[in-house]
Amino acid sequence: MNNNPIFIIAKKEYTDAIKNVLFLTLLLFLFILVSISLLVTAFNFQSQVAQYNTAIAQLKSMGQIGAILEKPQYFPLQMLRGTIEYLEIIGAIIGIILGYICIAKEKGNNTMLLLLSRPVTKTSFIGGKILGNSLLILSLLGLILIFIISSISGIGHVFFSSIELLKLFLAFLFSYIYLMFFFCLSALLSIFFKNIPNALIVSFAIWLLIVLIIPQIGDTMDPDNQIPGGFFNSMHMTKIQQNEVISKFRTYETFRNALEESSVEKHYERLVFATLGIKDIYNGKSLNVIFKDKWGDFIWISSYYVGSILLAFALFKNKRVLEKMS
Amino acid sequence: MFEQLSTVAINEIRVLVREKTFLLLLLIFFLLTLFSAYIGWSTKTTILAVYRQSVITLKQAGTANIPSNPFTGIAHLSIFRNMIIYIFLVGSLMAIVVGHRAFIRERKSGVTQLIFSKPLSRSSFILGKILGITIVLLMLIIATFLVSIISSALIPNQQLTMLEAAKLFSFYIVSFLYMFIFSMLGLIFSIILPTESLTLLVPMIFWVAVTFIIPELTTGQNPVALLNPTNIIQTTSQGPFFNFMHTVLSPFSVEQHYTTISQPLLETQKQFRSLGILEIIKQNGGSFLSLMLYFFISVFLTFYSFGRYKVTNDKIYE
Repeated sequence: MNNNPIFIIAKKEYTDAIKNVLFLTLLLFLFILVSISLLVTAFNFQSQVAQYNTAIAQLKSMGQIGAILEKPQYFPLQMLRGTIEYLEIIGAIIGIILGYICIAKEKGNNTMLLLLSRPVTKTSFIGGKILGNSLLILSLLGLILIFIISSISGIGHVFFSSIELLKLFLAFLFSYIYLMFFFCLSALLSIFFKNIPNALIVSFAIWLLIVLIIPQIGDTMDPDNQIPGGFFNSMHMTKIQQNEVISKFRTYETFRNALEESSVEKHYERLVFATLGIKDIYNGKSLNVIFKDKWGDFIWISSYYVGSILLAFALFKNKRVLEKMS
Repeated sequence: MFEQLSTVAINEIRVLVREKTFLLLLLIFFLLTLFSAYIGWSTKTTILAVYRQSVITLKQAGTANIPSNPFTGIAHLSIFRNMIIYIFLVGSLMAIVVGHRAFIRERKSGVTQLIFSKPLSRSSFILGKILGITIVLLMLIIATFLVSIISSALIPNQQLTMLEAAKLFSFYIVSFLYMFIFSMLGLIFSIILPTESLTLLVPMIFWVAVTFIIPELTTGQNPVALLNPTNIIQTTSQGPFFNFMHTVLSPFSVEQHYTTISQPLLETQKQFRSLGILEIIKQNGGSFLSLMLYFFISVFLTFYSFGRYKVTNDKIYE
C-alpha cells in the first residue's frame, strides 16, 4: 500500500499544503473568523438576556406579571450560525485555493508531464490529488470542530449531549462535501486554462455567483424579508395565514425558489441549518425528522460532489487538455 | 511628463479591455445591474400585492385592527437598492482585480527593468497607472449608470425624474470612490508582495474583513444577513460589547460609510425621499469625508509602495 502511487501523491499533497504559506494564512484567517462569530453570537445572546431581565424588572415595578415575555433560550448548536456562514464563504475560498495550488505547482514547475512519464497513471495522479486534499480538508474541519467543542464547553461551560455531537459531526461531514466541490471546480479550471491565474479569477467569479449573488437575490426577493423582523410578523399573521397568502403568488415563489435551488450553497445551508437546528422549526428535532425533510438537499450536494470528481477524472484523461499543458 | 503619463494610462486601458477575465467580471456586473432593476421592480410589485392579499386574509379571519401598509410610498429609486450590495460584493472585487492586473503583468513578464531603462520617471509611471485605472472605473460606472437608466425606462411606471436621475448618478459617483479604494488595494499588494497568488489573495482577505468582519463586529449581524439591503438599514448593536466595537471600528468601516451615504441617495426608506443631494451629503458629512480620506490614503500608500519598489531586485513567484 505504501508504494501505491495514489497514496504517495496524496501524502505529498498533504505535506506540501501544510507547509504552504497561502494555505496556512487562510487557515489562520478561518480560525479568527470562527472565533469572532462565536464571540459575537455569545455577546448577542448576553445582550438578549440583559434586555429580557430589564423588561421583566420594569414590568414587575409596574405591578405586572413578567411571565408574558418569552425568556431567551440557549441552544449551543444555534451559536454556530456565523461559523457555518463563514465556512460557506471562506471555506469555499480555501477549497478553491487548494484546487488551484495542487495543479498550479505541477504546471509551474513543469512536473506534471514528467510525473506522467513515470509509471504513474492519470487516474493515480488525479486520485492522489483528490485523496490528499480530501484528508487535508477533513483535518481542517476536524480542527475547527475540536476548537468549537473546546471553546463552547471550556469557556462557556456548556456541554454538548451525544445527539448534539452527532449532529455537529454530520454538519461538518456535509461541509467536507461542500468544500470538496469547490476544490474540484478550481482544480478542473486550473487543468483547463493555459494561463493558470485566469483559472483562479474565473473560480472566484463562479464562487461569487453561486455563493453570494444567487442566494442574495433569492433572499431579497422573499416578501417576508422586506421589513426588519419580517413582514408577516408585522401583520401579526399565523403560519397558516402566511402560507395561504404565499400560495396566491406561486409563479413568483417558484422562480425565487428555483433561483435559490440552482446554488449548491443554498442546499448546503438548508441541510446544515436544519441539522444543527439553526432553522427554528428543526431545533430539537430528531435526525429522522430532519432527513425526511432535507434528503433532497443532501442528494443535491452529494451530486455536485460526485459530479465534480468524475468530471476532474474525465477532463484529466482527455488527451487534448493534456496537450494544452505541454 | 503629461505625454508619458497619458501613454501609460492609455496602455493600461487598452490592455485591460483586452483581458478576458476582466471582461467576464464586467459582463457579470452589467447583467447584475440590468437584473437588479427587474428584481427590484418585481419585488416591489409583488410585496404590494402580498399586502393586499394579507388584508383580505386577515379580514376573512375577522381581524379588526389591520396594520397599515408598510410599503406605501416606496420610492422609484429603491428598486436599485440591491446595487449597494452588488457594488460592495462584485464592484469592489472587480476593482481589486483591475488594480492587481495593472502591475502584476509587468512584474511577471519582467519588463519593469526595461521600462525604467527608458526616460520615464517613477512618478509618471505610477500616476499613469492610477489614471488608467481611474478612467476604466469611471467608464464602468458611467456605463452602469446608463444601464440603470435604460432599464428603469423599460419598466412600466418607473420613469425617473431629473432629481432621481441626479441622485442615482451621485450614488454611482460614491460607488466609484468605494471601488477606487479597492483597486488601489489590489495595486499596492501587486507591488509589495513576492508571490503572485498572495498578491490577489491578501487584498481579498482585506475585502472579506471590510465586507463581513467589521460589519459583523459592529452590528452583531451574521455575514449572510448583511447581504440583505433590508438588514443593513437597521443596526442591531446593543449592549456594551457592540457599543464599544461600534465606537472603535466605525472609523475603519469603509463599507459602513459607503452604505450610510448610498441608502439616502437610493431612497431606500420613505424619509429619504424629501432629501436633496446636498442635504444628504451634509447629513452624512462624516461618512463622505471618511470615504474621501480613504481615497487619498490609498493613493498615498500606492505612491509610497511604488517608491520602495526595487526594480533591479524584483522576483515574482507563482
